[in-house]
Amino acid sequence: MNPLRALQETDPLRLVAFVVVAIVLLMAAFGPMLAPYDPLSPNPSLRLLAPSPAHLMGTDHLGRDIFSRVLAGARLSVGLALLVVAVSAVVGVALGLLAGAGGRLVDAVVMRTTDTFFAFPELVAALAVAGILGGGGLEILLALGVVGWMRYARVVRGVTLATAASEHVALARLSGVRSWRIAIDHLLPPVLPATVVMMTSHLARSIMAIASLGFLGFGAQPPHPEWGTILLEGRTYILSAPYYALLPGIPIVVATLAFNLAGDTLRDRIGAGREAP
Amino acid sequence: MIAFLLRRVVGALFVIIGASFLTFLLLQLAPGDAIMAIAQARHGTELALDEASLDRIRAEIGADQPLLVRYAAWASDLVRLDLGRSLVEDRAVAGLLAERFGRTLELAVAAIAVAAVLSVPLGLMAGLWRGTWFDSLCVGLATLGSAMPNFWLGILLIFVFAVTLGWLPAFGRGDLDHLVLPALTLGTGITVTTARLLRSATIDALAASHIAAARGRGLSERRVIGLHALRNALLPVITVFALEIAFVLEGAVAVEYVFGWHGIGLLFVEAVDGRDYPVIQAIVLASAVLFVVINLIVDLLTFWLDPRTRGGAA
Repeated sequence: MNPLRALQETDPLRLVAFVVVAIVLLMAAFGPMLAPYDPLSPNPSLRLLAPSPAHLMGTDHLGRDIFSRVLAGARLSVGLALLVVAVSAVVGVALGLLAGAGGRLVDAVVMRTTDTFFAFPELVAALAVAGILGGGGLEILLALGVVGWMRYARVVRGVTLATAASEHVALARLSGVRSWRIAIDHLLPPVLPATVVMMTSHLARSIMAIASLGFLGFGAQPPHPEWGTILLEGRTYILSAPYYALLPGIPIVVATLAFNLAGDTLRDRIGAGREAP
Repeated sequence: MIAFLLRRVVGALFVIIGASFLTFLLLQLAPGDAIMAIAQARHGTELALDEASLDRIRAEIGADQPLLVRYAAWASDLVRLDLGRSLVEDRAVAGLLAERFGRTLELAVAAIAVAAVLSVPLGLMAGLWRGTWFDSLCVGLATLGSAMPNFWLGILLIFVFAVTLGWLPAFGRGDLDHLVLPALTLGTGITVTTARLLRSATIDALAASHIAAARGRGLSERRVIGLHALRNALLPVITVFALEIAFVLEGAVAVEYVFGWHGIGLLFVEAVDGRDYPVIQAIVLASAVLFVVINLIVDLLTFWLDPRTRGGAA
């Protein structure tokens, strides 16, 4: 379909979602540079100021501009989510291809492993891994990567089972094409649409998961900002400075909402990525 | 039929064994100074440490033996329901969990009740009145609700109902009114998922061919909806509702933390914070086993309730 035409037919709300997705991604890339004030250095004379045109979200207990910290925090909150999704997708797709095309034994081993990893509630397992490793960017990436790859493996395996049984793959095998070439040329392209759809909604879940880990105290190392960590610091001020406890949550909701809607739209358009029940 | 049951049960057992091994492996992630960290957590300061107490902790963890030997020892204790001793509190993990379990159960039951009361009418009505403003409102709220981290919703509810209106207490324990906000927070997540599903199940059920046939036979709309549509809409909903129960513990982690609710969820955060490995392992494994068992029950129930799946699955 003509992309311009597709754009016109899309529900305006969903168009807004894609615009917000673009803004959130720009924040992750340039957030620290866009921040109107220094997000890190304390300024005791400006402690806990209510929101005003000068400080859109007010100031925190150390006198730092909360809006600047939210902007700078996007680097970790969203940037790390992108990494989590990328790592999970690569691992999951590779294992899914392996299971779908590697024969019954490989399939059984990979899929039972997938089932086993699926048994752990995401946040419980991620918190345990991140906590035992000690909080920090790399640790969170590892923790959420460990619990993030299984959906990809399951869906990709389903698609690949069908592709691997098709005639052109059999022909390629017979004519002696190397298996990694077959994987890249024949097996990979059919799984890409579903993978992109899954990645979009996985981004939403990862942003939420990173914020949750941060809120529980296993996020960024102070004084570096991250959305969940800012809320953790702010929640003790719910009586004296409710804006500090509440406003930094808005970007989490907006970003999650936008990625969810964008994922739904892509799924409807591409018609892929629905998980088997 | 028996073959199907056997296969599902054996499959579930395999997953539980695999999950126990992964849970055991968690400990291997611990950085080298884990023993020092445990000793510090237990004794407070580094000054109080002597070589003997460090050795005692090493022996407790069994840090000097090969991996599989340690797993076998750990698993055989586990089978006898010996979950080990808390490293921080120096008492049996099983006792610690039992003490906190009641509080989480209380919260979970209340949250599930909230979800059942809210999601069934909302989902049904949204599905029956598809395309109306009420449907749009429900879909909009569900979309918003699913993008809201539960800890933030908790803070928001505290701000509105405890700080601003002063109707309900924000933290701690006491009368039943202490339960309202945490249950509402935890229940919202379950409500959102279940109501969404019930809405689409209702729409699907109404579109099914036998509904048209029932209408064609001249049955009243009330009978069509009540007898034919709802019955078919309910099965997938029961499934998802049961699966949501498996995730209650996950949701409870942040919710208990926000409300200072002394259940398993808060215990888990405390244990991770204090690197209390046996407690961490016990809760991680328990959550996985709960998930597998609930899945198994749901599978068997679906099999039992829906004759259509019997032919294909067995």
